[in-house]
Amino acid sequence: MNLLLQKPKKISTLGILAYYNPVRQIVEAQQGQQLLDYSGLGNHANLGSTGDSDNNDPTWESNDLNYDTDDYTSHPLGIFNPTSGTFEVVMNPVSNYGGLRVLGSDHSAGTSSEIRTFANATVLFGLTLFNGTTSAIANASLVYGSNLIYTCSWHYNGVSTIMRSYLNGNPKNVVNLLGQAVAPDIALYMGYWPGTSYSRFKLYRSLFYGRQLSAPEIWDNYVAHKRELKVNGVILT
Amino acid sequence: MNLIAAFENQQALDQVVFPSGLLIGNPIVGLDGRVAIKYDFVQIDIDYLTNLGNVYLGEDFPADWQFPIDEN
Repeated sequence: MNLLLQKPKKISTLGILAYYNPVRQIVEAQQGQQLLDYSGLGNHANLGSTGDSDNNDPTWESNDLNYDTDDYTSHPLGIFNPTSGTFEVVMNPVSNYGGLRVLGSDHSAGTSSEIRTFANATVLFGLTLFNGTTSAIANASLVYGSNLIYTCSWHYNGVSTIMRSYLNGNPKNVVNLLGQAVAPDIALYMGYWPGTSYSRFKLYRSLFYGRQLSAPEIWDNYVAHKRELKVNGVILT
Repeated sequence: MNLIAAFENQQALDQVVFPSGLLIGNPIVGLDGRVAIKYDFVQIDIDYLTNLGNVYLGEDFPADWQFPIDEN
């Protein structure tokens, strides 16, 4: 008899820079004005635009952190400026609003930029999105107003950047994009594009890595997240 | 209940001081210069906004609200 036993997939923690886990924070009754970083590196994000309650605060819910119409979190400077890195976001699939502006950066130059890298960066962007469809790619696009993720504008200080996007753990495309050199960010946000725009989504999990994750690792993360969603009562359709 | 409060312009919003102590951060800016914030306002803040006058308060944006066209 030939039995193939697979080890349970685990979320990779190698090279992690920040690990946002709203559900754990809720279970441990740690909700407040910070989205805690469980990586141990202390890269906690601030809810809203002030240290106190304000209209930009996302809302704590039972299974997620709800980024509604004008809500966002700001993240420590430098959390995502490695020479290579990966960003993953998992939305609560039962509450897909539509638009997802994951990270915002400098909008003052009149250009679009959602994730910023520095110094000839090569970035692997692993987007893990559940119940994804073609339209969901657009919903989860890093660029407001774009229909497909590979139209994403990409800013960096250097030469061509490779961006890979994944849907439900599977690679969707590999593109080279020439962007504009822009000044370093003063802040990173989830849910907010400084100056004009916000996004709406419910955050289940978010991870920042200071390295490129391989395609198998992206897949493993997807499977692990999927299992956890089920454990938390979120049944995928 | 999450409500949207829309004001004629930023100056009008700048005058707002919520009784609850809720701070006002970055608003949503409409094409015509109106600004809006969305929050789960407590009743004393809802009463305050209602009494201010010239403030739209509703679950959705005003029917004639338009978002600016993004540069993308």
